[in-house]
Amino acid sequence: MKLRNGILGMALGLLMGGVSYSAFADDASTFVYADAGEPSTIDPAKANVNWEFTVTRNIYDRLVDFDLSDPSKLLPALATDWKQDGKVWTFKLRDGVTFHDGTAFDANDVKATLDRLLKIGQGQSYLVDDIASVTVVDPKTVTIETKAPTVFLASNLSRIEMLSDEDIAKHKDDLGQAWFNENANGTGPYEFVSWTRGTQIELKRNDKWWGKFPEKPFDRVLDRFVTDGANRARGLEGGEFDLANFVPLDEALRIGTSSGFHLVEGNNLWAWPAIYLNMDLAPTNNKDFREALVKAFDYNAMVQSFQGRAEVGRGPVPSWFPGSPEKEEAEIKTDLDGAKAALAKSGLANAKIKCSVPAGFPEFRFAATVLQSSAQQLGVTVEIEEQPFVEAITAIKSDKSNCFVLGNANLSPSDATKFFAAHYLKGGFYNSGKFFDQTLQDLVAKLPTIADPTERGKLLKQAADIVVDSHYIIWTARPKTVVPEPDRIGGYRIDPAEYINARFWEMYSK
Amino acid sequence: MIAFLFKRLVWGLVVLIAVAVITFFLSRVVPADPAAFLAGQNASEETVQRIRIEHGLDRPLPEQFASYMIGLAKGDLGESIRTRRSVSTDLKQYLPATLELLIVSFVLYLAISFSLAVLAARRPGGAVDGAIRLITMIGTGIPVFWLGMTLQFFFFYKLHWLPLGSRFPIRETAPPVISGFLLIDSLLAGSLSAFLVSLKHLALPAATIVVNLLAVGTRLSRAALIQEQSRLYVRTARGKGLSPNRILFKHILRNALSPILTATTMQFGYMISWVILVEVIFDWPGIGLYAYQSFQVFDYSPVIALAIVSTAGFVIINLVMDLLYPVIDPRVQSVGS
Amino acid sequence: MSISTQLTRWTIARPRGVLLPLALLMVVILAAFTLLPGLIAPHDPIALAMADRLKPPSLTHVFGTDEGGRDVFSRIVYGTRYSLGVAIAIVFASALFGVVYGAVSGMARQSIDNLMMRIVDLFFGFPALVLALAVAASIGRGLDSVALSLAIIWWPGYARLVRGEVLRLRERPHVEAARALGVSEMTILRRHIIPFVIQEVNVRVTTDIGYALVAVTALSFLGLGANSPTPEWGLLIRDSRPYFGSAWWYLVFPGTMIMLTATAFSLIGDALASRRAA
Repeated sequence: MKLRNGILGMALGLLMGGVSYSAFADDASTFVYADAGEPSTIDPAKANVNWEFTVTRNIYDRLVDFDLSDPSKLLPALATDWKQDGKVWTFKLRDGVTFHDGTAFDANDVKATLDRLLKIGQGQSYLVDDIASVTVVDPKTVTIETKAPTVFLASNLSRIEMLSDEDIAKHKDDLGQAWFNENANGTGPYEFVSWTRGTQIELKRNDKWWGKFPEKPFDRVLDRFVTDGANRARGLEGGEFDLANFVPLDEALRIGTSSGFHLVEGNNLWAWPAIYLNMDLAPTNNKDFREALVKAFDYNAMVQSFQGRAEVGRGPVPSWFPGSPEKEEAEIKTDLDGAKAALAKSGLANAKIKCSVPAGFPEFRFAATVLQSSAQQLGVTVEIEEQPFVEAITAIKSDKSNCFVLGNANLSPSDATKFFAAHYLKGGFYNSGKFFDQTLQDLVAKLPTIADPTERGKLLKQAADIVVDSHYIIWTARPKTVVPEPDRIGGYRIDPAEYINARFWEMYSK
Repeated sequence: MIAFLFKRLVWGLVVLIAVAVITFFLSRVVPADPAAFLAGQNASEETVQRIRIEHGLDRPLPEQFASYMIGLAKGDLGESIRTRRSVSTDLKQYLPATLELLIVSFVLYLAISFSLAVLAARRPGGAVDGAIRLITMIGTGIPVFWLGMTLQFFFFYKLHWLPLGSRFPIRETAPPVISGFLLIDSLLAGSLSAFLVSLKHLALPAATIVVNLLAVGTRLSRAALIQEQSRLYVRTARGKGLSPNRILFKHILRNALSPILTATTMQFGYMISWVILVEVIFDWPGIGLYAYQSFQVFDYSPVIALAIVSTAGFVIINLVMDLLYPVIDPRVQSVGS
Repeated sequence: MSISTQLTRWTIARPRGVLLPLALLMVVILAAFTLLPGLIAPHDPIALAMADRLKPPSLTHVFGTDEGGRDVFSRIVYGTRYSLGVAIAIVFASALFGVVYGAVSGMARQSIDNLMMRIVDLFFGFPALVLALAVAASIGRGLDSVALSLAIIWWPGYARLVRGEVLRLRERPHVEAARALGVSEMTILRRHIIPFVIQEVNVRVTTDIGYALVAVTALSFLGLGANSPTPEWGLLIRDSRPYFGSAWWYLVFPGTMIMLTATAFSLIGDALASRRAA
């Protein structure tokens, strides 16, 4: 009976075809972005990886924006004006901004958002964890007091998305964690439409947005989850996608130089890939041994693997970052004799180390392969194990592995201390090899309190030198980020303080 | 008969529980920490610990096991750490995609292997027979993942005939979800074009699965055909003046079907493994891709759920087969006697 | 997979013409690759040579080079001992265990036999890949964990095959006669049953090597098997994935090798089966 009804339904459906459902709509204004993964959450307080930022950055706005071509230059966004007075920052908010559900944006939203973010303590909260309190002065004015004076607060707030205090109050039992995980209501250029698990998130353009869209913007955005890099490349080339995240470099260069495409090139990766050596586990706990590995490493092989579009880093802070000491640092070069001498000094000939490599990035695996081949010339054996990210970082943190490969950008546009804190200070999440140096700890704590940029630059150089001299990290290469963009599309710019981003509101069709 | 069924059911339950227990303990031996994933990068150790407590990951293993099994008895498959939803909710969403792919592949598999067998059995030992055998044999020797990529390369990248992956054209709106099976939902929505385009998306993933299985199906049907051709009742039927086509379908197909189905039930676990690979390569949003991605971040519950669901599938198929034998194969009088 | 071999008995056609010699030739080549890779491979399979990065097939590099400038042909040659070696180990271990288990089950009382076969059933429903995921997760990724998890799901096939054979042979007139003459069950097993069972198992083992190879490479492809820089064939395919549009040879040759190897073992298995049937 059921079967018969079903068949009847189908026949009926066929007869009445096209009445309510049409699969083939006009799609000239749909933008398809192939992202490298599916978000685990779209809560801005938890968003952490760039396929989560793809959604949160476009749905929500931030208090300030910054100039992509000069990250030290801040631009107005939800705040139109701001100033620092010691520990207190004051922000003047923009008039007439509304959330997608129609409620107005004001100072209460800022307070509720920051309070919630710090209480949850995940995602990007580390960027603003120096906030002591947030005070609503009037609906258009908010003051933020920090634990110690920091010149970087506004700059770091350029990464913090603003939610609605009504939403937070409505779902206050669990700090709104369940609701914000899969719902979104921002003030941003795109509105959340739907999330088809395993497939895509759909957004639509917010034509009431306070900002300015280019001519011919995209009305509909589909953020597709395409976990395989080769599939992203192939789909981009075949025209199924308009833009793709993390296209393997060789494919990116090939596609970007083929007809119908152009290459967008820029800086955004600080450490990609950087090899972290475990400071607690033998034999990498020996400084001379680490020095031998750093000196033996074949940097040219890495640069060649990026087809020459990379430089060899001289320290943790890339030269294009505001106030970078990189130009004054000594070059890091392959020096096999120096390596052999260091190894002899360590007395650890024929040592064996294990290297945990997060799976999914050909560049990481290759960096480990180069280390393996370079170390072999010293008689040192490197065993590689590719593992999912969490497993790999857990292996080195729990001293089951000597080395770990990591790639990272600094999410703060002009504050290097957040990067240092996460990577080189005690308890830092990416400080997988457990590096510790008290002088460095003090320097990093002091840096944001110093108003004079020249003075700050000097301290930053000292901090960088401590890391370089410890031989904790092998900066294998610092490649340019290369993104192929179809000629039918324009507006893509690389954000120097993100992994690989997509600002949908700047994209347009030609 | 009823006693037999009851016995099979009880055994099925035992198998399911055994699989749940084994996978639970295997997955908990893992040195990684799902709370660390949930807390996300840059989270402090305090945050990770808080999450560990929230999700009961700090409790001793026997306690975790007990609460998992109690949940399981209530039909609760646990919580996915990656998707932050209950695994049952996720499965409801992902299962139809996998079933659709499996069913279409299976129908295709039966149709193709039977057709090839008919061709091959015409002159056993002849050139056509040999060629079919070699081709299906090569098909079994091709690694599924490699075949999938190669098919993508030719049919999407070079020829632009078929889509790269996924279930439905990206820029189009899929029909409203009623059954979760796109083929059925398109028809229910009254769109023949949506139906056809869904078929197009099924083509490469299904072909990848089928090519690998063909050798078994073809061999079995060919053998059955040859055997049946020489059987007495076929000759009798011919004597009665039945048309050759009727003989083929009524008698031979029926007799060939039962060994094929038996073989398929035995291949089930293998097929599920292949489906995971195919889903990964074709971005097919089914339970295979779901479990694989969860595994990548050591999200245990979906992986255990996949083991349980596929074992349950196996138990059910075996049960159905036992019931179907007397229907399909006239030589089997009744089961269990 | 393995069911096919069990049923080869029904298809009494021997691979004809050039196929069997070609298959045997392939096995000889594989044996040479396994035993003497140093003599055959023209280049070092591990050392990096960045100047030759991703070069298409040429006279110096017949299968082209990979992202490290390494010769793909040399890597395939050296990889044989890993891919094929592990496949053979899996099949042999499973066969050994399965034969013992199946023989015991076949000779035992019905209640024990039933229980033993029920346990075998359990493994048939278990998805191989899920088990491999769990094993790799608990004892680490590597060829050893691949071998372990595949052996765990492989042996039940042998157990079932052997038990069936034992039951069939037990009813044979000459075995009945021996039993009537007072020959012990152990002797019957050793003299009248095992030799026949072994022949059947041989056929199955030969064909299974090809299938096990496919399974091993599949797990490596998913990142559960061999680790870099081991030139294991499945890992080569995994590594080649990001370069597919730019370097087709890197993907095509390892895959073809797996296909040819598996087919060669299937053909030989078929030949063995038809000789037995004839």
